[in-house]
Amino acid sequence: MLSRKFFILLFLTFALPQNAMSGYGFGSSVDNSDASSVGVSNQLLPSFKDNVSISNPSTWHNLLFSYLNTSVGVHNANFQSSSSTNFSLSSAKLVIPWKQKMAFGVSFEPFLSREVVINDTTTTSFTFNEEELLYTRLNSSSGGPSKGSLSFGYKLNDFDSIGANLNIVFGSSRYTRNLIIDNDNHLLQSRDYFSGTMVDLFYSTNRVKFKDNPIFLSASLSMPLKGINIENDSYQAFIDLNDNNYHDVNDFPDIGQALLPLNQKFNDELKISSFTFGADYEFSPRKHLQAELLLWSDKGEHNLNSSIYDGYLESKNKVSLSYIKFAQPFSRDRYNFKGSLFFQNYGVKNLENINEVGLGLGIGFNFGITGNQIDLGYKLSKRDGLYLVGNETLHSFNLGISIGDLWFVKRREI
Amino acid sequence: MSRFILDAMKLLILMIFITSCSEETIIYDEIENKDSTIQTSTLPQTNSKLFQTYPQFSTRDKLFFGSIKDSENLYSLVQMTLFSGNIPPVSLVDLLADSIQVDSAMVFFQTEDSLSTGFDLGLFSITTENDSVFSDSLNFYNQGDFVDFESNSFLLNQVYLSPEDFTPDSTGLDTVKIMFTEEDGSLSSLKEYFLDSDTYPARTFMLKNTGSTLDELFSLESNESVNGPKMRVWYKAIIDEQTTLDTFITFFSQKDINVFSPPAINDEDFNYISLNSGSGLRSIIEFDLNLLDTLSRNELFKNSNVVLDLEDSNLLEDDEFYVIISAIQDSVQNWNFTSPFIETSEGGEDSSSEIETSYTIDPNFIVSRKIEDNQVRIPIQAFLQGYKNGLFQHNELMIYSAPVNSPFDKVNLNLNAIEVMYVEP
Repeated sequence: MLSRKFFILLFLTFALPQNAMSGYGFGSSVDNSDASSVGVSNQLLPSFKDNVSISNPSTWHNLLFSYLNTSVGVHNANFQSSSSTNFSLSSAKLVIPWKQKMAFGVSFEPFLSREVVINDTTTTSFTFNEEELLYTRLNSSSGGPSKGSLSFGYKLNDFDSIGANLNIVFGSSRYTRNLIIDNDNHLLQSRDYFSGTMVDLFYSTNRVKFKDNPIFLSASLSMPLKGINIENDSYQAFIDLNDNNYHDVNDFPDIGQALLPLNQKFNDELKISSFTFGADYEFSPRKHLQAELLLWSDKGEHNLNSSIYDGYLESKNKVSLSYIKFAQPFSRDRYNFKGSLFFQNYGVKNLENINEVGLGLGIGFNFGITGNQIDLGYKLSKRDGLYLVGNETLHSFNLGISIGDLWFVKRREI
Repeated sequence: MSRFILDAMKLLILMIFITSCSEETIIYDEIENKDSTIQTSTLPQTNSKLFQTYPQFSTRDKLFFGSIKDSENLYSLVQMTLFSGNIPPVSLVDLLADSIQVDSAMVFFQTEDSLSTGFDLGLFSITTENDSVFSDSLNFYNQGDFVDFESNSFLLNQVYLSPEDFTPDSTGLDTVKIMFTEEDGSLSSLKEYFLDSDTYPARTFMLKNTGSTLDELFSLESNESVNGPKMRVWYKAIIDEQTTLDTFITFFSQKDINVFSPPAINDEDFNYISLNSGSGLRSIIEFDLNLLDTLSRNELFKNSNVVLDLEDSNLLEDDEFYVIISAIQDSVQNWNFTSPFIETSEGGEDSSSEIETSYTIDPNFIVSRKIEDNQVRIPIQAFLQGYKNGLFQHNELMIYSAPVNSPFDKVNLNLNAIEVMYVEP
């Protein structure tokens, strides 16, 4: 019973950091949810162990132990003279290998974040009946859908392996427009409920060699099984006379005299598909060079206009280059070092496109006979072309803890 | 397995602790301006109606005398209890028994007022054969529906009230006493025309100014007050040949009413929104709310007022007058003047539907404001929002005098404007 309560709390605390892109469309997404992949700025290529990426199920069969992995993040966004810092849980994942042949996993992580506030910096004056009214506006959105995944990885032969994720998108977000007239909050609130299913397919191979060293190649294809539908509840505007941010009998109009919320359903609002291809080359023992390409697109309907800005992301391309040096198992060399560069371009519908360039650094520390690992990741990136804001600098620190054990693994398999 | 749960719990506790930290917000600047953020309009009046309903004597627990502000207090009626409160109870008629010798009696009233000129206060007994001669509905306009109190009364006694009898600016009460004794013959009148409740069952006093006109307002505490009218009778009761009981008993008032002639409804009143609770004069205005149909569901009304200018009144400098505006439950069918006391139908067709003299107030919208600087501004944003949300069905508002106002006060108001402001977040 106790653990059940904890899981409920866990889901409630999922959140992504605020940044300007949270105001685009249905919010901003994150590329690297687990701390071990932050330093390499990619998803498919090994970053957890020398042949395992925690984000790529087709590599999980290489694990000797089951791992419970959780990551938290500290995110800082700077633009103009403003700054914001947030803490959030990045991901929680359980990976269970079986006979080094296949693997299973279950994970929860944020999918999109709509956490953003914009407001007027100046007060506007309005005169009515010789009375001067001063007003400002403050628009905010919060929350966002989460993603629960069931994963499966399978080793086809000594060279090839495959994997798949079944992703269930769920959760809600809130949108509030506040017109503040002489300290009275005039609130217009709405809530979006997300539901959808997506699938990710993975393939990895070691067949290609260069100077007798294999090149690890991996590709993934993500597509919607069922587009993400959004149910929108739009509540009638009210004056929040008691400043509790909630429409009740003490507000105007009284909740009993207000209109019922408008409920609208929008199908296939988001139809996200992506293709990722990466290559990893071990040019020296435990030293790897990696490159990954991501092509992402959203062919959703986008009929619901409940975002802070009018624009939304319709495409994204990313290239990352990284270097990683892995620790030597069962030796005094217990540290993984990672460094990466990445370039990203966002295609924005209705607004200017956004470019992002970033740097990733990471360190991992192995301990214990089961290969427990603590990962620290740091990402610095700069975005150009953001609506109204212009440039934004993002700092992201991620801390991941991976506990390995013999859960569900028979001892004789080791 | 137990170790797994333990480890998982430790991790989760750690995560929850970390993620419970507070979250800051980023503030971006300059939201795109929207023309419809704040808008204003003036709602045109499309119709108005002056009408009379049943007079309202206000909530004041007084019996009034004098003529002020074009009103004249005609008389007051006070019905006394049939029995005194003693044990065993003694009825009025018991005092006429052979074994009872009434020595004297006193009818007395209490007042907080003082007088600047004197007047004659006459105390009459209503001498009809009915035991119930008036009700709460009695007023100046429907006196004809009741007995003719002037003709069916007998003057029992009268007293001249002079200014010296009362203490000006006193916080206490002064008493008005009307004595009945054998010497002046008034006691026998009281016994014959009031104590004999078998013959005159109304047991009702009529109080009336029997002298010259009193040009000021003088009041006595009414039955609603704890210091209401009372009658005390001193008498001797012969118990047996050796025993005589010398005592008194007190009768209390059980209901009363003040009847006055309110300010007349004149031709000029029809040009204004005229209000007077004494005559029951009220108004209804209808205005064009088509604007509301064009607004989005998220428009919020605020700072919207019916503005009424004071054109004429009988208010004195320190008088306060509150105006009430309310929604009504039924739409107005007849915009002509209507009154429950004036026969408007002339036997013509549809006459039954034309005699609409009272309108039911919708309790969801009642607002009161005081006239200040010759103007009253009454906020109606709640009505407009309710109309927009379907809570109110009719685009009409009734305007009337608040019960706290003096029934003698009358105002003529002119509709200045119905100014509305609405915003959309």
